[in-house]
Amino acid sequence: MLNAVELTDFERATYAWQLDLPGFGESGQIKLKGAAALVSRCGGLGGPVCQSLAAAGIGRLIVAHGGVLKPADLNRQVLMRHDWIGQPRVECIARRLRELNPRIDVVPVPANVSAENAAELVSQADLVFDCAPLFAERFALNAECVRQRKPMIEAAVFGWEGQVTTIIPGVTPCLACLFPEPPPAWQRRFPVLAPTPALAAAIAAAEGLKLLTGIGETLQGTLLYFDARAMTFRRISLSRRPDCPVCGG
Amino acid sequence: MKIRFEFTAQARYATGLDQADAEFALGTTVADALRSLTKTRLESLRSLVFSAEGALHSSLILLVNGRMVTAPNAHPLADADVITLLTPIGGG
Repeated sequence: MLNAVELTDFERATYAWQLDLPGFGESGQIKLKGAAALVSRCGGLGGPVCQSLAAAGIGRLIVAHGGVLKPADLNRQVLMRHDWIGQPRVECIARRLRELNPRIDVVPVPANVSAENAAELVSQADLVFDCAPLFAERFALNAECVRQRKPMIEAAVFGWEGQVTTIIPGVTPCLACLFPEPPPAWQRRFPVLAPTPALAAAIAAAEGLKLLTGIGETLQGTLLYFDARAMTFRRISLSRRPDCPVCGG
Repeated sequence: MKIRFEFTAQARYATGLDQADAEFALGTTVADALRSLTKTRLESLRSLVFSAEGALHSSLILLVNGRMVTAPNAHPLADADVITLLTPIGGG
């Protein structure tokens, strides 16, 4: 989406260790430099997704998150600082990401994704990461990704457990195929500790980097479920829902 | 026949269990097995699985022997089957 045709000498030095990856090289790095990703929410899950994408050298990172940093965020939101409590969260993460990699373009959006802003936000990205806790946000993002045919990496956590899948509209089940209705028992606050979202975030970021560079195999149509308490990982084949009102199955 | 239930996320927290075993008649469906389990033994699980009207929540992903079940009301179980309840979770 962005215009990137070559790397500078400083970029070659910065990304030298990943340029050595088989199949990656300068062409892979230029693809990242030319890509824009939208990350919905930058908490314990979305924050480390942003961190990995920024370190890897993605061209533009659009981060949407409303509200300010609270004490209860700090047990898992590893990019935040205690002395930032009360400050807009998305400005905090933008500052942190620019410190990490000043060569990328960070676009902070001080609002959560909603039915009102999803179309505009998704239109600016090549790839979308759903790291939001509320199903209304997630459904709005999913519907717009399906409509605009944009891939979406879906990540979620609870306790020691996590789920990650890669949604390719028209190819894989969409989020509404998996969850046709808002889960009645889901609550905004749930038990979790720092390593769980960081682990899910690392997997989600790897999925995105593979999609953007065309390297490797992604979790298309597969849900990766992990339980860090037992340290078990399972791959579950997903099915499209023929009567899905969002993607049509 | 013996059926094993595996619990994840909210289901694990609601029951305090990672898994539970139960006996059912041959041919019992996934939905009926869950209905029986939540009625006779694990009542704390009922609202996570069924609506107040007794219908399975469509937002619950059910696996039998690791495979997603799309028609739990019609899916008959066999001895030693394992039902996994993947409850919907989110970012945080």
